[in-house]
Amino acid sequence: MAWPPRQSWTSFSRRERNRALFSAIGSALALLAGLILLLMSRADPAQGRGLRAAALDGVAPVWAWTKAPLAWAQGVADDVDAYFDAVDRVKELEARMARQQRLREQRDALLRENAQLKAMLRVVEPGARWSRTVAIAGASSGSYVRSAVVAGGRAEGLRVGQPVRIDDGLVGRVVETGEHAARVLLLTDMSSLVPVRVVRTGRPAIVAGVNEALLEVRYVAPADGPLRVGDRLVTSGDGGVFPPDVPVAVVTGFKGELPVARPVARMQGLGYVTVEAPWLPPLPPPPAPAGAGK
Amino acid sequence: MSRIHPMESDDRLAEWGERLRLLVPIATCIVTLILMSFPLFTPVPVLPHLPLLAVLCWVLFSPSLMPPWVALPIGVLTDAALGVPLGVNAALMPAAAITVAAIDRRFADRPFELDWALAAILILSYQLLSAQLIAFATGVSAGGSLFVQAVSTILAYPIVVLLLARLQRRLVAQ
Repeated sequence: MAWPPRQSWTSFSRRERNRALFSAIGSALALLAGLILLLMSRADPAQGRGLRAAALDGVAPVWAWTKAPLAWAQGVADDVDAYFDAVDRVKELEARMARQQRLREQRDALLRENAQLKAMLRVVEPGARWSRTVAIAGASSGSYVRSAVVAGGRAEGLRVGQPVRIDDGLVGRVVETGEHAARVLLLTDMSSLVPVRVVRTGRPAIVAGVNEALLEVRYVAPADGPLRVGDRLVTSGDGGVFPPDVPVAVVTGFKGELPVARPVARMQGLGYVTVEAPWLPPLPPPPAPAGAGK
Repeated sequence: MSRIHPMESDDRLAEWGERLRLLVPIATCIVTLILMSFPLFTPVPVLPHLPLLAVLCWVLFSPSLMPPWVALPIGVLTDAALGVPLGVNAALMPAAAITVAAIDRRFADRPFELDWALAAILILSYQLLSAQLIAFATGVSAGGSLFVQAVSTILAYPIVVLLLARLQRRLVAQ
Protein backbone atom coordinates (compact mmCIF):
# COMPACT_ATOMS: atom_id res chain seq x y z
CA MET A 1 0.00 0.00 0.00
CA ALA A 2 2.88 2.28 0.69
CA TRP A 3 4.12 4.55 -2.04
CA PRO A 4 7.45 2.96 -2.76
CA PRO A 5 10.50 5.24 -2.55
CA ARG A 6 11.68 6.57 -5.89
CA GLN A 7 14.95 4.58 -6.06
CA SER A 8 13.27 1.25 -5.79
CA TRP A 9 10.60 1.86 -8.42
CA THR A 10 12.42 -0.26 -10.91
CA SER A 11 12.27 -3.25 -8.61
CA PHE A 12 8.49 -2.95 -8.17
CA SER A 13 6.24 -4.38 -10.76
CA ARG A 14 3.76 -2.19 -12.58
CA ARG A 15 1.03 -4.12 -10.82
CA GLU A 16 2.35 -3.08 -7.43
CA ARG A 17 2.42 0.56 -8.43
CA ASN A 18 -1.10 0.40 -9.79
CA ARG A 19 -2.29 -1.11 -6.56
CA ALA A 20 -0.79 1.74 -4.54
CA LEU A 21 -2.41 4.24 -6.88
CA PHE A 22 -5.85 2.58 -6.64
CA SER A 23 -5.55 2.43 -2.88
CA ALA A 24 -4.78 6.15 -2.70
CA ILE A 25 -7.71 6.98 -5.01
CA GLY A 26 -10.02 4.68 -3.04
CA SER A 27 -9.05 6.33 0.25
CA ALA A 28 -9.64 9.79 -1.17
CA LEU A 29 -13.04 8.74 -2.56
CA ALA A 30 -14.08 7.24 0.79
CA LEU A 31 -13.17 10.45 2.58
CA LEU A 32 -15.00 12.50 -0.04
CA ALA A 33 -18.12 10.32 0.23
CA GLY A 34 -18.17 10.85 3.99
CA LEU A 35 -17.92 14.61 3.61
CA ILE A 36 -20.68 14.65 0.97
CA LEU A 37 -22.93 12.68 3.37
CA LEU A 38 -22.21 15.30 6.03
CA LEU A 39 -23.13 18.15 3.68
CA MET A 40 -26.33 16.33 2.76
CA SER A 41 -27.33 15.86 6.39
CA ARG A 42 -26.73 19.57 7.00
CA ALA A 43 -29.08 20.33 4.13
CA ASP A 44 -31.67 17.75 5.19
CA PRO A 45 -31.35 16.48 8.78
CA ALA A 46 -33.94 13.78 8.13
CA GLN A 47 -31.89 12.05 5.41
CA GLY A 48 -31.14 8.38 5.82
CA ARG A 49 -34.39 7.80 7.65
CA GLY A 50 -34.66 4.26 6.30
CA LEU A 51 -31.12 3.40 7.35
CA ARG A 52 -31.68 4.81 10.82
CA ALA A 53 -34.91 2.84 11.17
CA ALA A 54 -33.11 -0.34 10.10
CA ALA A 55 -30.33 0.32 12.61
CA LEU A 56 -32.92 0.79 15.38
CA ASP A 57 -34.62 -2.47 14.43
CA GLY A 58 -31.25 -4.22 14.49
CA VAL A 59 -30.13 -2.94 17.87
CA ALA A 60 -33.34 -3.08 19.90
CA PRO A 61 -33.97 -6.86 19.90
CA VAL A 62 -30.50 -7.62 21.24
CA TRP A 63 -31.07 -5.63 24.40
CA ALA A 64 -34.71 -6.68 24.66
CA TRP A 65 -33.53 -10.32 24.81
CA THR A 66 -30.64 -9.76 27.18
CA LYS A 67 -32.90 -7.67 29.39
CA ALA A 68 -34.15 -10.41 31.70
CA PRO A 69 -30.90 -11.30 33.52
CA LEU A 70 -29.82 -7.66 33.63
CA ALA A 71 -33.15 -6.60 35.12
CA TRP A 72 -32.79 -9.36 37.71
CA ALA A 73 -29.29 -8.20 38.63
CA GLN A 74 -30.48 -4.64 38.94
CA GLY A 75 -33.39 -5.76 41.14
CA VAL A 76 -31.00 -7.59 43.48
CA ALA A 77 -28.71 -4.56 43.64
CA ASP A 78 -31.68 -2.31 44.46
CA ASP A 79 -32.86 -4.71 47.19
CA VAL A 80 -29.43 -4.76 48.82
CA ASP A 81 -29.31 -0.99 48.59
CA ALA A 82 -32.77 -0.62 50.13
CA TYR A 83 -31.90 -2.96 53.01
CA PHE A 84 -29.28 -0.66 54.50
CA ASP A 85 -31.46 2.31 55.33
CA ALA A 86 -34.71 0.42 55.72
CA VAL A 87 -35.58 1.69 59.21
CA ASP A 88 -35.05 5.35 58.41
CA ARG A 89 -37.00 4.99 55.24
CA VAL A 90 -39.98 3.30 56.91
CA LYS A 91 -40.18 6.14 59.44
CA GLU A 92 -39.93 8.75 56.73
CA LEU A 93 -42.56 7.03 54.62
CA GLU A 94 -45.01 6.73 57.51
CA ALA A 95 -44.66 10.42 58.26
CA ARG A 96 -45.15 11.21 54.61
CA MET A 97 -48.22 9.00 54.42
CA ALA A 98 -49.85 10.86 57.28
CA ARG A 99 -49.14 14.19 55.55
CA GLN A 100 -50.42 12.95 52.26
CA GLN A 101 -53.62 11.52 53.70
CA ARG A 102 -54.67 15.10 54.53
CA LEU A 103 -53.63 16.31 51.10
CA ARG A 104 -55.57 13.49 49.43
CA GLU A 105 -58.77 14.49 51.21
CA GLN A 106 -58.30 18.09 50.08
CA ARG A 107 -57.56 16.89 46.56
CA ASP A 108 -60.70 14.75 46.39
CA ALA A 109 -62.77 17.72 47.45
CA LEU A 110 -61.08 19.93 44.85
CA LEU A 111 -61.55 17.34 42.11
CA ARG A 112 -65.27 17.17 42.86
CA GLU A 113 -65.52 20.94 42.86
CA ASN A 114 -63.50 21.15 39.64
CA ALA A 115 -65.74 18.59 37.94
CA GLN A 116 -68.81 20.59 38.96
CA LEU A 117 -67.31 23.84 37.69
CA LYS A 118 -66.27 22.24 34.41
CA ALA A 119 -69.75 20.84 33.99
CA MET A 120 -71.23 24.33 34.58
CA LEU A 121 -68.85 25.86 32.01
CA ARG A 122 -69.29 23.00 29.51
CA VAL A 123 -65.49 22.56 29.05
CA VAL A 124 -64.62 20.35 26.07
CA GLU A 125 -61.68 18.00 26.63
CA PRO A 126 -60.12 15.39 24.36
CA GLY A 127 -61.66 12.02 25.11
CA ALA A 128 -60.19 8.55 25.49
CA ARG A 129 -56.74 8.38 24.04
CA TRP A 130 -54.48 5.77 22.53
CA SER A 131 -51.50 4.65 24.57
CA ARG A 132 -49.04 1.81 24.54
CA THR A 133 -46.51 0.46 27.03
CA VAL A 134 -43.14 -0.55 25.60
CA ALA A 135 -39.88 -1.82 27.04
CA ILE A 136 -36.69 0.20 26.93
CA ALA A 137 -34.21 -1.62 24.70
CA GLY A 138 -31.22 0.64 24.43
CA ALA A 139 -29.77 4.05 25.05
CA SER A 140 -27.35 6.38 23.40
CA SER A 141 -24.86 6.09 26.22
CA GLY A 142 -22.13 6.11 23.61
CA SER A 143 -23.14 9.23 21.76
CA TYR A 144 -23.78 12.88 22.43
CA VAL A 145 -27.50 12.44 21.68
CA ARG A 146 -29.52 11.78 24.83
CA SER A 147 -32.00 9.24 23.62
CA ALA A 148 -33.49 5.87 24.46
CA VAL A 149 -34.44 3.04 22.15
CA VAL A 150 -37.76 1.35 22.91
CA ALA A 151 -38.92 -2.06 21.72
CA GLY A 152 -41.95 -0.87 19.77
CA GLY A 153 -42.20 0.79 16.38
CA ARG A 154 -44.54 1.61 13.52
CA ALA A 155 -46.05 -1.89 13.68
CA GLU A 156 -47.09 -1.17 17.28
CA GLY A 157 -48.59 2.18 16.33
CA LEU A 158 -45.72 4.44 17.42
CA ARG A 159 -45.30 7.61 15.36
CA VAL A 160 -42.86 10.48 15.41
CA GLY A 161 -43.95 13.23 17.81
CA GLN A 162 -45.79 11.12 20.37
CA PRO A 163 -45.09 11.97 24.03
CA VAL A 164 -43.46 9.31 26.20
CA ARG A 165 -43.90 9.09 29.97
CA ILE A 166 -43.64 6.81 32.96
CA ASP A 167 -45.98 6.99 35.96
CA ASP A 168 -43.76 9.49 37.76
CA GLY A 169 -43.44 11.95 34.94
CA LEU A 170 -42.49 12.91 31.44
CA VAL A 171 -39.66 11.06 29.68
CA GLY A 172 -39.53 12.67 26.25
CA ARG A 173 -40.96 12.20 22.78
CA VAL A 174 -40.60 9.81 19.84
CA VAL A 175 -38.21 11.15 17.17
CA GLU A 176 -37.49 8.13 14.95
CA THR A 177 -39.46 4.99 14.27
CA GLY A 178 -38.37 1.65 12.90
CA GLU A 179 -40.66 -1.28 12.23
CA HIS A 180 -40.35 -2.70 15.78
CA ALA A 181 -38.20 -0.11 17.50
CA ALA A 182 -38.25 3.63 18.03
CA ARG A 183 -35.91 6.31 19.34
CA VAL A 184 -37.12 8.53 22.17
CA LEU A 185 -35.51 11.93 22.64
CA LEU A 186 -35.01 12.43 26.38
CA LEU A 187 -35.71 15.66 28.26
CA THR A 188 -31.99 16.06 28.91
CA ASP A 189 -31.08 16.21 25.20
CA MET A 190 -30.02 19.65 24.09
CA SER A 191 -32.68 19.77 21.39
CA SER A 192 -35.51 19.04 23.84
CA LEU A 193 -37.79 21.93 24.80
CA VAL A 194 -40.92 21.35 26.90
CA PRO A 195 -43.49 24.04 27.70
CA VAL A 196 -44.21 23.84 31.43
CA ARG A 197 -46.19 25.57 34.13
CA VAL A 198 -44.81 26.42 37.56
CA VAL A 199 -47.21 24.76 39.99
CA ARG A 200 -46.76 27.40 42.73
CA THR A 201 -47.47 30.41 40.51
CA GLY A 202 -49.34 28.85 37.61
CA ARG A 203 -47.16 30.80 35.17
CA PRO A 204 -45.51 29.33 32.04
CA ALA A 205 -41.84 28.59 31.38
CA ILE A 206 -39.77 26.41 29.10
CA VAL A 207 -37.67 23.47 30.28
CA ALA A 208 -34.67 22.88 28.05
CA GLY A 209 -32.16 20.02 28.01
CA VAL A 210 -28.45 20.86 27.90
CA ASN A 211 -26.95 17.34 27.61
CA GLU A 212 -26.33 17.31 31.33
CA ALA A 213 -28.08 15.62 34.23
CA LEU A 214 -30.04 18.77 35.09
CA LEU A 215 -32.42 20.80 32.91
CA GLU A 216 -32.47 24.56 32.45
CA VAL A 217 -35.64 26.54 33.10
CA ARG A 218 -35.94 29.39 30.61
CA TYR A 219 -38.30 32.27 29.90
CA VAL A 220 -39.65 32.64 33.43
CA ALA A 221 -41.52 35.93 33.30
CA PRO A 222 -39.64 38.33 35.62
CA ALA A 223 -42.90 39.76 36.91
CA ASP A 224 -43.73 36.41 38.50
CA GLY A 225 -40.80 36.66 40.87
CA PRO A 226 -37.90 34.23 40.86
CA LEU A 227 -38.39 30.50 41.08
CA ARG A 228 -37.57 28.87 44.39
CA VAL A 229 -35.72 25.67 45.05
CA GLY A 230 -38.34 22.93 45.26
CA ASP A 231 -40.74 24.51 42.78
CA ARG A 232 -42.46 21.80 40.78
CA LEU A 233 -42.83 22.12 37.02
CA VAL A 234 -45.59 20.29 35.15
CA THR A 235 -46.40 20.26 31.45
CA SER A 236 -48.69 23.09 30.42
CA GLY A 237 -50.13 21.39 27.33
CA ASP A 238 -49.02 24.33 25.18
CA GLY A 239 -47.98 23.22 21.72
CA GLY A 240 -50.37 20.31 21.83
CA VAL A 241 -47.77 17.53 22.04
CA PHE A 242 -47.48 16.85 25.75
CA PRO A 243 -50.67 16.39 27.78
CA PRO A 244 -51.05 19.01 30.54
CA ASP A 245 -50.19 18.42 34.20
CA VAL A 246 -47.62 15.67 33.76
CA PRO A 247 -44.77 16.24 36.26
CA VAL A 248 -41.59 17.26 34.43
CA ALA A 249 -38.99 18.52 36.87
CA VAL A 250 -38.26 20.03 40.27
CA VAL A 251 -36.12 23.15 40.64
CA THR A 252 -32.96 22.21 42.52
CA GLY A 253 -30.79 25.29 42.32
CA PHE A 254 -29.41 28.06 40.20
CA LYS A 255 -26.63 28.18 37.63
CA GLY A 256 -25.81 31.87 37.72
CA GLU A 257 -29.18 33.52 37.14
CA LEU A 258 -30.73 30.52 35.42
CA PRO A 259 -32.77 28.06 37.50
CA VAL A 260 -31.87 24.41 36.95
CA ALA A 261 -34.22 21.51 37.57
CA ARG A 262 -33.92 17.77 38.04
CA PRO A 263 -36.18 15.62 35.84
CA VAL A 264 -38.87 13.84 37.85
CA ALA A 265 -38.78 10.67 35.73
CA ARG A 266 -35.60 8.81 36.58
CA MET A 267 -34.71 6.65 33.63
CA GLN A 268 -33.97 3.19 34.93
CA GLY A 269 -32.05 1.31 32.29
CA LEU A 270 -34.42 -1.58 31.92
CA GLY A 271 -37.91 -0.38 32.67
CA TYR A 272 -41.03 0.28 30.67
CA VAL A 273 -42.41 3.53 29.32
CA THR A 274 -45.83 4.55 28.09
CA VAL A 275 -46.22 6.14 24.68
CA GLU A 276 -49.34 8.25 24.19
CA ALA A 277 -51.01 9.92 21.27
CA PRO A 278 -50.14 13.64 20.98
CA TRP A 279 -52.39 15.68 23.31
CA LEU A 280 -54.10 17.45 20.43
CA PRO A 281 -54.41 16.09 16.90
CA PRO A 282 -52.03 17.91 14.54
CA LEU A 283 -53.63 21.07 13.17
CA PRO A 284 -54.27 21.31 9.44
CA PRO A 285 -51.74 23.58 7.69
CA PRO A 286 -52.87 27.21 7.68
CA PRO A 287 -54.54 28.32 4.44
CA ALA A 288 -52.20 30.19 2.11
CA PRO A 289 -52.70 33.93 2.52
CA ALA A 290 -54.68 35.40 -0.38
CA GLY A 291 -51.99 38.00 -1.15
CA ALA A 292 -49.14 35.44 -1.33
CA GLY A 293 -46.80 35.98 -4.26
CA LYS A 294 -48.00 39.59 -4.67
CA MET B 1 -4.78 -25.09 -3.88
CA SER B 2 -4.33 -27.10 -7.03
CA ARG B 3 -6.29 -26.05 -10.06
CA ILE B 4 -5.64 -29.31 -11.94
CA HIS B 5 -7.69 -31.60 -9.73
CA PRO B 6 -11.35 -30.94 -8.99
CA MET B 7 -11.70 -29.25 -5.65
CA GLU B 8 -11.85 -31.58 -2.65
CA SER B 9 -14.48 -30.83 -0.03
CA ASP B 10 -11.73 -29.92 2.44
CA ASP B 11 -10.42 -27.39 -0.02
CA ARG B 12 -13.86 -25.95 -0.49
CA LEU B 13 -14.32 -25.65 3.25
CA ALA B 14 -10.95 -23.95 3.51
CA GLU B 15 -11.96 -21.54 0.79
CA TRP B 16 -15.15 -20.63 2.63
CA GLY B 17 -13.14 -20.19 5.80
CA GLU B 18 -10.88 -17.88 3.84
CA ARG B 19 -13.82 -15.75 2.75
CA LEU B 20 -15.36 -15.60 6.23
CA ARG B 21 -11.98 -14.51 7.57
CA LEU B 22 -12.34 -11.32 5.56
CA LEU B 23 -15.60 -10.49 7.35
CA VAL B 24 -14.19 -10.73 10.90
CA PRO B 25 -13.16 -7.03 11.13
CA ILE B 26 -16.57 -5.81 9.92
CA ALA B 27 -18.36 -8.24 12.23
CA THR B 28 -16.42 -7.00 15.28
CA CYS B 29 -17.28 -3.41 14.37
CA ILE B 30 -21.00 -4.26 14.25
CA VAL B 31 -20.78 -6.04 17.61
CA THR B 32 -19.18 -2.93 19.14
CA LEU B 33 -22.04 -0.85 17.69
CA ILE B 34 -24.60 -2.99 19.53
CA LEU B 35 -22.54 -2.71 22.73
CA MET B 36 -22.59 1.07 22.35
CA SER B 37 -26.38 1.17 22.61
CA PHE B 38 -26.36 -0.50 26.04
CA PRO B 39 -29.38 0.83 27.97
CA LEU B 40 -27.45 2.88 30.49
CA PHE B 41 -28.71 6.40 31.12
CA THR B 42 -25.89 8.73 31.98
CA PRO B 43 -25.81 12.52 31.75
CA VAL B 44 -22.72 12.44 29.51
CA PRO B 45 -21.55 9.82 27.00
CA VAL B 46 -19.32 7.63 29.17
CA LEU B 47 -19.01 4.57 26.97
CA PRO B 48 -15.79 4.54 24.94
CA HIS B 49 -16.13 5.02 21.20
CA LEU B 50 -15.72 1.28 20.58
CA PRO B 51 -16.36 1.27 16.79
CA LEU B 52 -13.55 3.80 16.38
CA LEU B 53 -11.20 1.67 18.49
CA ALA B 54 -12.15 -1.43 16.48
CA VAL B 55 -11.42 0.35 13.20
CA LEU B 56 -8.07 1.64 14.50
CA CYS B 57 -7.05 -1.82 15.72
CA TRP B 58 -7.89 -3.51 12.42
CA VAL B 59 -6.00 -0.87 10.47
CA LEU B 60 -2.97 -1.70 12.63
CA PHE B 61 -3.36 -5.50 12.65
CA SER B 62 -4.50 -6.28 9.11
CA PRO B 63 -4.52 -3.12 7.00
CA SER B 64 -5.63 -5.05 3.91
CA LEU B 65 -8.90 -5.96 5.66
CA MET B 66 -9.66 -2.43 6.89
CA PRO B 67 -8.89 0.02 4.07
CA PRO B 68 -10.54 3.47 4.27
CA TRP B 69 -13.38 2.41 1.96
CA VAL B 70 -14.41 -0.27 4.47
CA ALA B 71 -14.19 2.27 7.29
CA LEU B 72 -16.71 4.44 5.39
CA PRO B 73 -19.72 2.06 5.63
CA ILE B 74 -18.83 1.32 9.25
CA GLY B 75 -18.90 5.05 9.93
CA VAL B 76 -22.29 5.35 8.23
CA LEU B 77 -23.65 2.48 10.36
CA THR B 78 -22.21 4.11 13.49
CA ASP B 79 -24.00 7.36 12.68
CA ALA B 80 -27.27 5.53 12.06
CA ALA B 81 -27.10 3.40 15.19
CA LEU B 82 -26.08 6.18 17.57
CA GLY B 83 -28.47 8.79 16.20
CA VAL B 84 -25.70 11.16 15.12
CA PRO B 85 -26.19 13.20 11.90
CA LEU B 86 -25.22 10.95 8.98
CA GLY B 87 -21.71 11.82 7.80
CA VAL B 88 -19.99 12.68 11.08
CA ASN B 89 -18.41 9.30 11.72
CA ALA B 90 -18.71 8.45 8.03
CA ALA B 91 -16.26 11.25 7.20
CA LEU B 92 -14.00 10.87 10.24
CA MET B 93 -13.52 7.10 10.22
CA PRO B 94 -11.89 6.92 6.75
CA ALA B 95 -9.79 9.95 7.74
CA ALA B 96 -8.70 8.16 10.92
CA ALA B 97 -7.92 4.99 8.95
CA ILE B 98 -5.78 6.96 6.47
CA THR B 99 -3.96 8.75 9.31
CA VAL B 100 -3.26 5.56 11.24
CA ALA B 101 -1.98 3.77 8.15
CA ALA B 102 0.37 6.69 7.45
CA ILE B 103 1.63 6.82 11.04
CA ASP B 104 2.05 3.06 11.09
CA ARG B 105 4.34 3.24 8.05
CA ARG B 106 6.42 6.06 9.51
CA PHE B 107 7.03 4.59 12.96
CA ALA B 108 7.29 0.92 12.11
CA ASP B 109 8.94 -0.41 15.29
CA ARG B 110 7.43 1.43 18.19
CA PRO B 111 6.92 0.48 21.83
CA PHE B 112 3.33 0.11 23.05
CA GLU B 113 3.57 3.28 25.15
CA LEU B 114 4.24 5.37 22.04
CA ASP B 115 1.44 3.51 20.30
CA TRP B 116 -0.95 4.46 23.09
CA ALA B 117 0.21 8.07 23.13
CA LEU B 118 -0.31 8.37 19.36
CA ALA B 119 -3.73 6.76 19.70
CA ALA B 120 -4.59 9.22 22.49
CA ILE B 121 -3.72 12.19 20.27
CA LEU B 122 -5.73 10.70 17.43
CA ILE B 123 -8.77 10.00 19.64
CA LEU B 124 -8.73 13.50 21.14
CA SER B 125 -8.57 15.11 17.71
CA TYR B 126 -11.29 12.72 16.49
CA GLN B 127 -13.66 13.82 19.27
CA LEU B 128 -12.81 17.51 18.79
CA LEU B 129 -13.45 17.22 15.06
CA SER B 130 -16.68 15.29 15.56
CA ALA B 131 -17.92 18.03 17.92
CA GLN B 132 -17.15 20.50 15.12
CA LEU B 133 -18.88 18.39 12.47
CA ILE B 134 -21.95 17.87 14.68
CA ALA B 135 -22.14 21.62 15.21
CA PHE B 136 -21.77 22.05 11.43
CA ALA B 137 -24.52 19.53 10.61
CA THR B 138 -27.08 20.42 13.30
CA GLY B 139 -26.23 24.02 14.12
CA VAL B 140 -26.22 23.13 17.83
CA SER B 141 -22.97 22.83 19.77
CA ALA B 142 -22.46 19.45 21.42
CA GLY B 143 -20.57 21.09 24.25
CA GLY B 144 -17.78 19.42 26.16
CA SER B 145 -19.64 16.15 26.57
CA LEU B 146 -17.56 14.41 23.91
CA PHE B 147 -14.42 15.09 25.95
CA VAL B 148 -15.56 12.60 28.61
CA GLN B 149 -15.95 10.01 25.90
CA ALA B 150 -12.47 10.82 24.56
CA VAL B 151 -11.00 10.07 28.00
CA SER B 152 -12.87 6.79 28.36
CA THR B 153 -11.88 5.81 24.82
CA ILE B 154 -8.21 6.45 25.54
CA LEU B 155 -8.45 4.37 28.73
CA ALA B 156 -10.18 1.55 26.87
CA TYR B 157 -7.57 1.45 24.10
CA PRO B 158 -5.17 -1.10 25.68
CA ILE B 159 -8.02 -3.48 26.55
CA VAL B 160 -9.52 -3.36 23.08
CA VAL B 161 -6.09 -3.83 21.51
CA LEU B 162 -5.48 -6.86 23.73
CA LEU B 163 -8.84 -8.47 22.90
CA LEU B 164 -8.76 -7.77 19.18
CA ALA B 165 -5.10 -8.84 18.90
CA ARG B 166 -6.09 -12.18 20.38
CA LEU B 167 -9.03 -12.43 17.98
CA GLN B 168 -6.80 -11.51 15.08
CA ARG B 169 -4.24 -14.20 15.95
CA ARG B 170 -6.90 -16.90 16.27
CA LEU B 171 -9.22 -16.09 13.40
CA VAL B 172 -7.62 -13.82 10.87
CA ALA B 173 -3.88 -14.44 10.68
CA GLN B 174 -2.98 -17.33 8.37
